[in-house]
Amino acid sequence: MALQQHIFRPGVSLDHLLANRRWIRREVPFPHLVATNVFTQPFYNLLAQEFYREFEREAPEGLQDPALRMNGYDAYGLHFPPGIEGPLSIFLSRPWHDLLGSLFRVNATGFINAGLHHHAIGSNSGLVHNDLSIGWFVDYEALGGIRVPRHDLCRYTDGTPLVPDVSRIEMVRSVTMMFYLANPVWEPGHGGETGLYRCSNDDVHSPAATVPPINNSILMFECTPVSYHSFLRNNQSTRNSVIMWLHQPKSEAVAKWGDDKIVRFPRAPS
Amino acid sequence: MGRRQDRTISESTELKTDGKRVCLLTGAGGRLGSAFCSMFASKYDIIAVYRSQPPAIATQEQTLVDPLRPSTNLPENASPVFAIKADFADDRQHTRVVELALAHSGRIDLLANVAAWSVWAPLMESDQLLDSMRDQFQINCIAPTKLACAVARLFWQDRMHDNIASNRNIVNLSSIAGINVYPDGGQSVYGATKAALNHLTYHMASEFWSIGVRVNAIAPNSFPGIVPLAGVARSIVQLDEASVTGKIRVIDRHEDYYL
Repeated sequence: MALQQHIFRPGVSLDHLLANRRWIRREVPFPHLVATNVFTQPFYNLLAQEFYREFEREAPEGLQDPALRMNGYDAYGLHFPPGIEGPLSIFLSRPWHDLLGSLFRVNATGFINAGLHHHAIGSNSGLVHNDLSIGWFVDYEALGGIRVPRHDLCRYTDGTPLVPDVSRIEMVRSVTMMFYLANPVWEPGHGGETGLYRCSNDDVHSPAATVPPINNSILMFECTPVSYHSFLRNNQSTRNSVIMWLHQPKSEAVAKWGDDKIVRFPRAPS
Repeated sequence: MGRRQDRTISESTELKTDGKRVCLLTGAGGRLGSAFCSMFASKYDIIAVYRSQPPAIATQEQTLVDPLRPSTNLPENASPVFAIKADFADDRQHTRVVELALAHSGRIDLLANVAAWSVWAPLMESDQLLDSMRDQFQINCIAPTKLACAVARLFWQDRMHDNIASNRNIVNLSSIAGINVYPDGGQSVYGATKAALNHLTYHMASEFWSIGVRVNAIAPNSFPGIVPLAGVARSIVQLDEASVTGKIRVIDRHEDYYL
């Protein structure tokens, strides 16, 4: 098959890019979906190459540029900007957005936050959390109605306006997706898995289930009060991933889960 | 050795049990275990034991879904296996697994000891290899033997006639590395565990004869690199359907024979 057929373009259906049409829906410790060999090998290769290119474009020191260090999380991160092009744009496409929404039967709104994460070898385990968090957006005209946070206009985490008179929209994360790519071949003992938990106070190193960061595999789940998960320390290999969240109107999340269940990010110092 | 000697490897024995045979499978989350589950979930009532990752098929706790047609009812979900999470590094797990299997299915016809652990490295250079010796022997030799004994004590030992009538048996996953020495392959410890498993298989066959249970092993070359994965999975079924006992079936690139 010609490489051209594996290149993602807006409006292209996902049929010819998905290599595996048998994803796994698990119920324990909370409902989630996993799949391996998600994309065709040629398209996966393009995604993996683009992972490094994106970091090189954004940061002179590459994957571990201090400017990309994440606050309160032992990782380096990049946000996908509006209008991102190339293979990674598949994650900001309407078909991909609708696929995730339909798998969890959520009212997907087109508001997406997505980016790249890099955990250097020896990164510390994270905290057990559920991702049922507030996210702030600004509305704008966008292809397919897919809008990403405008970090130049308002802070995603707390809604702090960064320009005068900006109209902000308060949303709540509805679906979390992690796609693992551009990693060394993973073996048991390498670490870097995503741990899944039953309770918020479970020991981070005693997860009820783990999802290994195998290249071209995916983990996704609806954000609920019990979707407890965490990054697990990676002792022997880097852990690279695409991270992405769909969002729902806050009123819907409150009606579904209760206002007290919605997590607020601490307000960043101004 | 053999209570009943096979004439050919592919010879089948007509089963007297009604419905599907019950297979207790270890290593179900691994490459061979997953393939076995995918290929034979409609043939066997599989109790699939895994350490960390469940097999990629329908179980009591997971279903398959087509991401582009998530509402479609997939045929693969019609024969879910019964999955049990257990780490055989913990000696208490053998009895627990057998008790759960018997509670679920009422009997065990085939025990397929497929779980394996391997670390390949030069003996004189690798601390990791030396540190792994105990674990490799635990998973590759001790666990299959203890699990077989747990099945025998909890179910098979007072059922000799039923065992013979139901052609009950054990298939251990050995390796050609337990028979041949491949220089500079780093398989010293792994090969030793498999050689020990081969000898245990012979002894188990001798002792389990008294309760009417056959014991054999398969010793494939590297799969799926040298021998096809599906062929290795199928060889477990062929041994289950055969009548031999005390045999090591070697499966190599161009050869397939019993030791």
